[in-house]
Amino acid sequence: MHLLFAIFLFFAVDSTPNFQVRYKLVYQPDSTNLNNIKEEAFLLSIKENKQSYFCSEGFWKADSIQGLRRTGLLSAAEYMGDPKYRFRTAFDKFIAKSLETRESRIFEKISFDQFEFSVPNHLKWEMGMEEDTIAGYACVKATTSFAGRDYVAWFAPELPIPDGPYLFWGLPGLIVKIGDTRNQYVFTLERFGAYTGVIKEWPEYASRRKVKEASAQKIYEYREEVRKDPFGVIERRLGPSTFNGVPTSDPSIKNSKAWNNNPLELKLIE
Amino acid sequence: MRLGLLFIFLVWAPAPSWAQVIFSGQVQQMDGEAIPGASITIHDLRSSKIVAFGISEKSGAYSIPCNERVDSVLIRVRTLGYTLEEKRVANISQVTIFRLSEESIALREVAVRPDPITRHGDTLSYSVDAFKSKGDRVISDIVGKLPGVEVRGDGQILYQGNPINKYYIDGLDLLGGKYKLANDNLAVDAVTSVEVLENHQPIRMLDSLVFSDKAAINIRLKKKVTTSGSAQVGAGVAPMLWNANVTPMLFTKANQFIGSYQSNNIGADVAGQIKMLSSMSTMGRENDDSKTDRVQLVPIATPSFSNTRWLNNQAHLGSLNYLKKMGRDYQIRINSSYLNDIQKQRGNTETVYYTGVDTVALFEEKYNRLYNESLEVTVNLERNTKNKYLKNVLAGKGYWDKQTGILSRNHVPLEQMLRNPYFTISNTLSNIFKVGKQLMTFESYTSLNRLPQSLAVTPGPFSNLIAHTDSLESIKQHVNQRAFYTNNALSFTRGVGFFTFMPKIGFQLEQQKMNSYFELPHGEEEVVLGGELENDLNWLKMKPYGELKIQWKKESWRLGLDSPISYNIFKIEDQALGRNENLNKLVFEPRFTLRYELNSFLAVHAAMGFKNQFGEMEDIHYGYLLKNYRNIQLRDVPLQQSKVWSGSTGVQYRNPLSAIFGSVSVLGNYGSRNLMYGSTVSDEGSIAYTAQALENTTYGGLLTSNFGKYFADVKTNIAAGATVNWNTSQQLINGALSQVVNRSTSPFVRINTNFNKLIDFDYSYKLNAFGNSVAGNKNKATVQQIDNLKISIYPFTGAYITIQNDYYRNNFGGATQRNQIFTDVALRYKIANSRIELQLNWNNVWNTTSLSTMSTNSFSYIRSEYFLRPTQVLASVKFGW
Repeated sequence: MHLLFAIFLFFAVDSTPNFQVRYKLVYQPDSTNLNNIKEEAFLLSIKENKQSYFCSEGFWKADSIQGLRRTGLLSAAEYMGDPKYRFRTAFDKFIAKSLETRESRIFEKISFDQFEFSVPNHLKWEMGMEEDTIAGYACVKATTSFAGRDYVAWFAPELPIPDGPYLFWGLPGLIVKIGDTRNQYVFTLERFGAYTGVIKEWPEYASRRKVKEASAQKIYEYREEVRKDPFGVIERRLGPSTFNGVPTSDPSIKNSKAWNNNPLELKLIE
Repeated sequence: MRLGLLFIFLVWAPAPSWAQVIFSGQVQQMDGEAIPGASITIHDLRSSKIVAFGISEKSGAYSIPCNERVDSVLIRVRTLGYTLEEKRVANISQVTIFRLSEESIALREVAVRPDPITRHGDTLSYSVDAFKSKGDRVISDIVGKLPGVEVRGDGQILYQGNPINKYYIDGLDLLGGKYKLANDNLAVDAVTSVEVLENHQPIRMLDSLVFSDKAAINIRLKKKVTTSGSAQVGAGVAPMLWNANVTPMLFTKANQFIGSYQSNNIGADVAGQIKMLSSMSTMGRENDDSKTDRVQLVPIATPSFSNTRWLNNQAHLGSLNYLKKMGRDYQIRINSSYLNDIQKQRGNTETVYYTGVDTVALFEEKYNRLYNESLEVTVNLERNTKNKYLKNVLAGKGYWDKQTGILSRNHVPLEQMLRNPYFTISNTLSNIFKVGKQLMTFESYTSLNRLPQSLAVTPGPFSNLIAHTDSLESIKQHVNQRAFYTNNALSFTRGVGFFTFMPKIGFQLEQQKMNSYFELPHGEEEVVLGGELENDLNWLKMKPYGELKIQWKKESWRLGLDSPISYNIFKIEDQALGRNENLNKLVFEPRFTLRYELNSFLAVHAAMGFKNQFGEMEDIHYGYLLKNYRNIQLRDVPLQQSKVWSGSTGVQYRNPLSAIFGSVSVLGNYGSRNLMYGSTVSDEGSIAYTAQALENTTYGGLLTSNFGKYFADVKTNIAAGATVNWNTSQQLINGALSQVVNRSTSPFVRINTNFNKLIDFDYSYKLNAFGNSVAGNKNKATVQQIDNLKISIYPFTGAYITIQNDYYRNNFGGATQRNQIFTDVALRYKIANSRIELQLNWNNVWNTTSLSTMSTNSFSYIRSEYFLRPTQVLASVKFGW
């Protein structure tokens, strides 16, 4: 199965160190197609066990490039000229969680707009009796429901960080693996370790002029509208447009994203 | 009164013992300051499992309800940076304040190495990073190492022993089956994973309807826009050598392009880069449209190992391939290639014919020059979506080939001049459309071919037969062939429950003309040539046919029954010679297949079928045709019909988690033919074929097996297998009916390992043993053993040394030949911080200049000595991106 490199690190520090977790998400964006499986890597950075910051690796890199562009360290010509500067992600989201106050702040880019909002934390966990070893950690099972899906999570009590990927948190241990009962969205821990680098606490993308505050409900509705008809949204904003020479109202273009019918959040978070 | 007392008693009864218990309290530092975010877990003392939990608030407070029916519990408090505290308490509501002292923590760090092979549904994904070793430059270096995957000498890729049906790059099929060009030139660094798509059905409309047992490969690129390619120029000595290769590639979401110019005279086979290795067409001619020469030079049996050891060439290849995705889901693809190659072959051949009574021996020394020139252009328009399928391929090929050969036969000199061009144009159309709710498929294939060939031999052989004279200065055989072929069919596909029905009706028409005549040198014109020395053959084949294919698919079972029925009409006529044959025959050829997946790793397959085949136009000609200088044939024979009953079964195992792949299959067949071909061999070694209407049978069996396992921790892949083949048939040799039995056994083993960062090994051993017997006389068996060892060393960054050794041991008929060893050394150095690589090759270090090979068939044995390329040194510069 997996081969693990376990390194024991002992270090005496005055303050609580920072940690970074790398999760791999394997997901099925099309509920009708079992062969269309996608993957993405995510990073969860934990600062002094008080705050945590979560986003996809692609988002982190693309955002850092934006930072370099803003400070002038990377010129527009260089950026446009070399494809190695262009990072993509299917998850244009940044989640900042406070482990002390149990509040979260989310940045999300949907179509042309940038939003900032907060979701309530009403996650209720049911403790399970089963135990297993996952990624080398002794884990305990717990279950919950979130945004229209039922989830099974495995957390490691030996890592006393009450956090996990995305908006899954509040267990007495770091979540090592969590997936929905239909196996359509599964996060698995790939790497956990102390982190001495710079932690991104808020995306550079978020320029003060463009970010809008909104309620979680409005965000969910707008996100769903864009998901179901992305070209329609563009047309309503910019007027009729074409894609590869074909008008976007043409069914072959309009329905080209029909495979994207299985988002992580199926319902509004309660 | 009593009631009242009872009531009071009930009210005063003690509360049930399972009232909710609440554990609450505070988590604080030693100085009383709150610790928020600490994990408080309540454990059942006996099982030590967590029964309830909570996280401390910003104020440090916690409140945990617990509904477990236990007597006592353990409260444990844990958080980063502080000591772990726990307390055993009784299971009753209570308030506990925990004071934690600071402590440096030791948290176990983990980095999980991703699986080298992962599986999702029908897709197996091999991570390139896991299989890559430092010396790998192009994707074909890796594809051969993947367990379960094998790459043949000609570049064909097999998965579990079966050829793949499609080679995609990021989901697009740019090269349409001629994938060696991409496989050999696409940089490994541009690829993130190689996916095997099992049971791949390339036509999306048929995806859940028609099952496919073939696999496809999809190369996943790291970036959405990839430009890759390489440019290489090399020069060397012994004698003047060159090698150049410029292959730029571009892959974006909507466009793909591969261009290539390759030229060399070091023996590298460029024609193989554009060879069709997988073909989807089922409508083509029963033999494909590839070139079948009617006249030939007597070939020299070329060695079975790498071309670079023996091929003396001067080759130029240009190839342009472009795919564009257009609107409305259309894709257009243009592939074109031009090849110009001059090859020289030098060797000698000893041929021994067994006639069951005695043997005839012949010794020839040969020097052949082949001038190959061909141009091929294909235009492919396709639309392949879930609701529509249309594909039209227009292809044109032209070969302007010539060959010359000088031969010394039993020390008598002879010259041959061959002109063997060929021209063909074809169009294939497939269209799947809906009529109401019904899916219908229309397929059509049409082609036109022209084959104007000639062979001139000096001095002219068979002078008595052709010109009634004892000697002739020269003879020239002219052959002209024209063919028109069309095959059209309409079918529909209907799914009913677990069944899929595919009835089909179609019509095939083949019209060919062959005429041939001899041309004598000036001075001999008064000799009348005619009669049996000329051919004016008309061949017409019409075949209306119908077919019903039924597939049943349920869970892990797949069954298929194919029942084609056809009415075959043949009209073969040579008006000038007054010979003809008409044949009408109704034929039924059922076939049954089965596949069962026992579990996600193991599958079983079986098949049984009957085939009734007819001969081709090349089998009949009522006049003489000089095939090569010592083979003149007259085939005044009826059309051959052969019936074959065959059955096969096998097992396939693939376990990506433990990286074990294996397959075993057994095939048996029994056939009967209506004609017995006989051959008469004269003292000069010339062969005359005749046929008698004599029913004869043949039967045989074939066993193939291969296994592979990849050990990820030591980065080693081991593969082993064997092929055993046996068949027996009846042959007429010099008038006598003889039973001929052929047996061959070929086991192999291959190990490749890169467990050490500095050195890689790749070792394989192959054994080929042939034996046969004619009329009960067992001929001496021949055994050939081949050991290959490749050692790759990486002494320091950027440097790479390979030493390749091939060791041949041959034992022909009991006589051990001189063992031969070949060694090639290559040095590569990549200049740091640049894309330039320097390479030095020294081939055939031991200067082995000749090799003996042998081949046997049912009634002859041929031993050839081939002159190889001498030792040579080549220096090149390569620039890749």
